[in-house]
Amino acid sequence: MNCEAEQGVVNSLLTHLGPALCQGIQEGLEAAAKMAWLEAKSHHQGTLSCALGQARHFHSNEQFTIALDAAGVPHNPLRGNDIVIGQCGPLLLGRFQTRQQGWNNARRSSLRLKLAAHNEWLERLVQPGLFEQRLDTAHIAVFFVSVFSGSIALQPDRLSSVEIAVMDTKLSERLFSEPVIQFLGRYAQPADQEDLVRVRLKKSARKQQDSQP
Amino acid sequence: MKRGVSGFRPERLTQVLDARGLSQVQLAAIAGVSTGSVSKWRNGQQEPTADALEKVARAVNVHKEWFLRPSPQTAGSPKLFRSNASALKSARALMSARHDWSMEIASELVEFVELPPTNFPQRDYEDPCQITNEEIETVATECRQRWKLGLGPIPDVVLAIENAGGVVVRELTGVARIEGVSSWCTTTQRPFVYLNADKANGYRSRFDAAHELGHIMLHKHVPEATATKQYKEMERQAHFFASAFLLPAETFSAEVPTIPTLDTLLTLKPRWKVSVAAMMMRLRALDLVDEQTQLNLWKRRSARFGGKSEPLDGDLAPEEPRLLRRSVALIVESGVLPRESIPERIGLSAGDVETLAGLPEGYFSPKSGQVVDLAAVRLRRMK
Repeated sequence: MNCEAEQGVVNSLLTHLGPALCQGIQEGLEAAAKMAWLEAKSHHQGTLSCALGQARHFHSNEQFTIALDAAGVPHNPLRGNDIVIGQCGPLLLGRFQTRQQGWNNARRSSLRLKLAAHNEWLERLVQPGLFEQRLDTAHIAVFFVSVFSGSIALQPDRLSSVEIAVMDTKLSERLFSEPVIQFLGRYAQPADQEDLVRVRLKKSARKQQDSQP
Repeated sequence: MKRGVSGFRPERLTQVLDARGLSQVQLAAIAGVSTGSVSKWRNGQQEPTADALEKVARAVNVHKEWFLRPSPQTAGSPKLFRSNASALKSARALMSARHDWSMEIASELVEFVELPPTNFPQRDYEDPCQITNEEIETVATECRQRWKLGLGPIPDVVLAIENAGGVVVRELTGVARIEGVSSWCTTTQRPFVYLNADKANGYRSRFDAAHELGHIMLHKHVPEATATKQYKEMERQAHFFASAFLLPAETFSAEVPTIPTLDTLLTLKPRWKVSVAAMMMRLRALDLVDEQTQLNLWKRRSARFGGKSEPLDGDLAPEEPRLLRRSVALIVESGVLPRESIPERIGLSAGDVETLAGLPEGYFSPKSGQVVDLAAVRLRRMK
């Protein structure tokens, strides 16, 4: 995806996702990480990693749903192991969790792959001018990604970061990704401060100027 | 017996001693007059002779006629200093006198030029105890809205103040312990901010300017006596205002991680153009960190950065004022007054007017090869 198309994606995200929603999801996913560890930490070493992974999935799903509800974003009902998908205009919102090195976990869900298939048009976009035109009919799948250290020994109760990502259809390449905390900075860009410090000669001074030889 | 110069203003002598940071004894030694005479002139018991006045004027580098002019009553609000407790009285007097001079320069210039209209949110508190933190947040937000600054980082605080019609002066003073002073001027009906340029740190200077803006907004109507009594509280309020103005709760808090570290704050420093120390204060004010976390951050900051400076401090150039500079330039370039005559008209030395108005050094010096626009001269003659 070229730079202009990436800017188009960013603009769409900024237009359709409010900062409160992004912040809500980020806080929810951070809380989910803590809750999951509290729940799983008493498990046997042999099952701890598996139990922690499951607890993270359930808690993150719940917190994601709560954040979507709080922002009034429609989504499919939270049920069992299913992934939750919300919709904000042309944006379809999903989530997954992964470790820092290699975002492989995402590909495990067929429903998530189906969701990512919506981004096919973005992958093929060569001419930047076509972005706006295609966005009228197409969707963009956006993922909130809980990134963990990848080791049970290293901060198991805490996220390394929460990223906002637009993935390719195979969920292997990131077309756009940024930590949510950094993305939030895009909502508060420095103002275009105009220099209005203009001084004018007074009429009396102009007369004085004109009367000079 | 020689007669003294009538119309001599003793308050002018006090002012120039303050502005130059000189004692009576030092002035007497430099000017070659007796200390007793200086004391009598200062107390109004005697007037200096024409000869002595000439010597004194030369010693302090002002025009002798300046001593005969009444000191304009420019103070429309108490002068509020941003300083630490150990700041010397003489240092305050120096900055106060130079602050007055900047007002005097502006008062002279407004005879010829119209300055931008003032646009500051009005508050009429007479007692600082009336001002709550919530109210300060509201004023800071109102200020941003009125000046169309959005909720992101402010590109230039000095420009924001001058856009709203305030006058900012920034000069080297040699005083280390006072960062700035501000007050409202009755003659020009606008606020004046005097910033100390000695620390040459863009981040600190921005915060100083925002701090003075806080005084301008919140403490305009506080009587002098109350200001003296409530000095500490007013300083705290101006500090709180500066934080709220530079780091709006809504957007700044969204960019700070749940567990902030020195490094995460350092990454935010160039974007928000605010020091790590100021961000730490803001985090506590917004209740985003508890007292213990803030204490830990302070300890780590001091262990890693030392007490006085922070990484990236040298990366941001201090913001420069422009209003007085543009006013002088307009008067000179439009030919209303000859360049060299301006300091004399004001009564101060060329160097003083240059530094206070932010003009380049030597601006008022006669040029050897001056370019004259012949067409303009011819047109003027034809009229």
